[in-house]
This record gives sequence, structure tokens and C-alpha cells, in this order.
Amino acid sequence: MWRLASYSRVLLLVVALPSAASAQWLEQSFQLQAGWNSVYLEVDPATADADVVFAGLPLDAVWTRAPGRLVQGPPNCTSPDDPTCIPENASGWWAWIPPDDPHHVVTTLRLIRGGRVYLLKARSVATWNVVGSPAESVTQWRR
Amino acid sequence: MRRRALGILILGFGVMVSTVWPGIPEPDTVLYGQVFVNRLLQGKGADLTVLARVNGVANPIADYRMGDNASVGDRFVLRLRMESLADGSTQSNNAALLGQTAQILTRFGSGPEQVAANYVLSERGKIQYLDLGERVRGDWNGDASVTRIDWAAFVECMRGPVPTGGQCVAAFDFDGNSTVDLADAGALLTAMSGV
Repeated sequence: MWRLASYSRVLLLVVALPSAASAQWLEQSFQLQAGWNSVYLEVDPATADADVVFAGLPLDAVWTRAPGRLVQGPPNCTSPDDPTCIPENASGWWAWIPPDDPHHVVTTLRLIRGGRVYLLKARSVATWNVVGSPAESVTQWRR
Repeated sequence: MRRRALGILILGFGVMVSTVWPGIPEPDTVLYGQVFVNRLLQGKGADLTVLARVNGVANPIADYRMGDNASVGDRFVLRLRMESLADGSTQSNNAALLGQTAQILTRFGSGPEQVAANYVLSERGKIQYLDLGERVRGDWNGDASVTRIDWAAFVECMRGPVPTGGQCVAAFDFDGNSTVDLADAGALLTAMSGV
């Protein structure tokens, strides 16, 4: 009897786990205007690859700032949160440029994380929907 | 009592006047391209540094030593730090403002700096391809001649999406319409040698 109860608890746990995990997904939606848009991303996108996150959007570029941690491009670094980054200069800005854009070669931002501000330069009006898990803020207010 | 209050007021005003804080950071202006001397490409193996200055300040606001970033190959990349003084701040000596002109310079080894271009900073977050020195039109690989190798690169540029940046337009836009198209193919064939 005890064994059966124990098994059923394990079974319950196994069944409950995936649903508990999926309940943590959130969707955030942004109405983008033509020109510059400032957004605070509250979710870690399900797929962090910037090329996937921004696929299909009419964007010229996406910028984010990580003071003192601007870095060389691949293969050394993929995002401002990458601890292996090598400082390139003191600018602190990271840029993503669409893969089909002639300037893509100077892209530095390759992974998109939540909890930070992004500046999106759009060519036209669009809606950006992002699905992901709740992000911890990496933004620190300047005193 | 009144005298004391006046003293505090003057002191406060003095502190306000003497306090200098940097401007609000804005997205960089990114200039990238290739450097040519006597129509020959100075690639990643060259002992060459490209710098940018504004206002003649001794400190460059950006510099790049050829070959520093493997992912850009034979190109230089200058990330010009931009800032806004909208909050009443003072311009930093390592940043530029919209409307200012950046002087782009080249320096071989520890030799003298030479002015290669002047670039007006007209837009925040601007990314611009910029060749320094004179390139032979139609010469992709920078060997000062137009050959079958360059034709192969032209075909790649025509395929799109363009894999190697604004370099396609810089190398193959013969008619100056900012695109690489069939009209340029005829001019390239004319320019080719050894075919």
C-alpha cells in the first residue's frame, strides 16, 4: 500500500512537472513605430539567437548598452552577458544588424536576453511578439 | 544668519558650475571599410592603425589596428562613441556629438598620422561603409587589377543577400546608383584584364 502511494506520488510529480514548467512562459508584445523604439524586455526569449528573435521584423538595427563590456565579435563573444567577452573599446553599445543587410558584418549582439533595454530602429510599423521565461533585471539605475 | 545662508547659496552655485558630468550615451556611429595605398589593399597583416578624432582633441574617440577583429577580415571597424548633451552635461573628450565632423586618420607603425577622410556625424546609430584611399573600380580583392577573381566576387554580390557588407557597392557600383546590378556587369567585363 505504501509502495503504491509512493509510486503514485512520483507519477503525480512526473505529470505535474511539465505543466508547472510551461506555466512559466510569458508573451510580451510591442507595437513598433517607424524610427526608433525603446523597449524593456521582461522575458528571456525561448530562443536567444537574435536572428531568430527578430526574424521577419522590418528592422534596420537593434542596440543595447552594457557599459564597459563592448566586445569583439564572434567567436569570442555573443552578448553583453557573456562572461568571456574581450573588451574592444569603451563605447558600451552592442548592435544587431539583420543577416540580409550589407552591414551585418559589424554585428556584435548575437544573443538576446531579457531584463534589459533595447533600442529598435524600425523601417515601418510592426508588432513584435516575444515568448519566453521571466527575466531577471540586469539594468542598474545610475545614482 | 542671513550671511551664512548666502554663503551656502554661493557655495552651492559654485559646486554646480564646477561639476562636469559626461553626456547621455547614444548608439555609436560605426564606420567600416578598407584601406588602399597606391590602389593596393592594406589588409589585416598591415602594420596600420585607423583612428577618428573630433575637435582636434589629442585623444582619438576610436581606433582600430588592422587584424584586431578576425571576424571583419581585411576591413577596419571604428565604433565612434556618441553622446547627447540634452541634460546640460559637458562633452566628453572621447565622444562626439551629432553634427560634428570626425577626422579619420591612418598611421603606419609609429609613423605620422595622415588624414584619410572627414565624416559628418549626421545620425545616431549610423552604420556606414567607407573606403579610405583609392580603389580600382571592379577590384574586389585589392590587388589593383580587375580579373576573374573579381568577377567571381561580383557574381556573389549579385546573388544576395550580400554576404560581405557595403563592400559590394564600393567595388562594383560602376554607374553610381548605390546598387550592384546587371548594368554594372557590362562595365566590369570591360574593365577586366586577362580574360
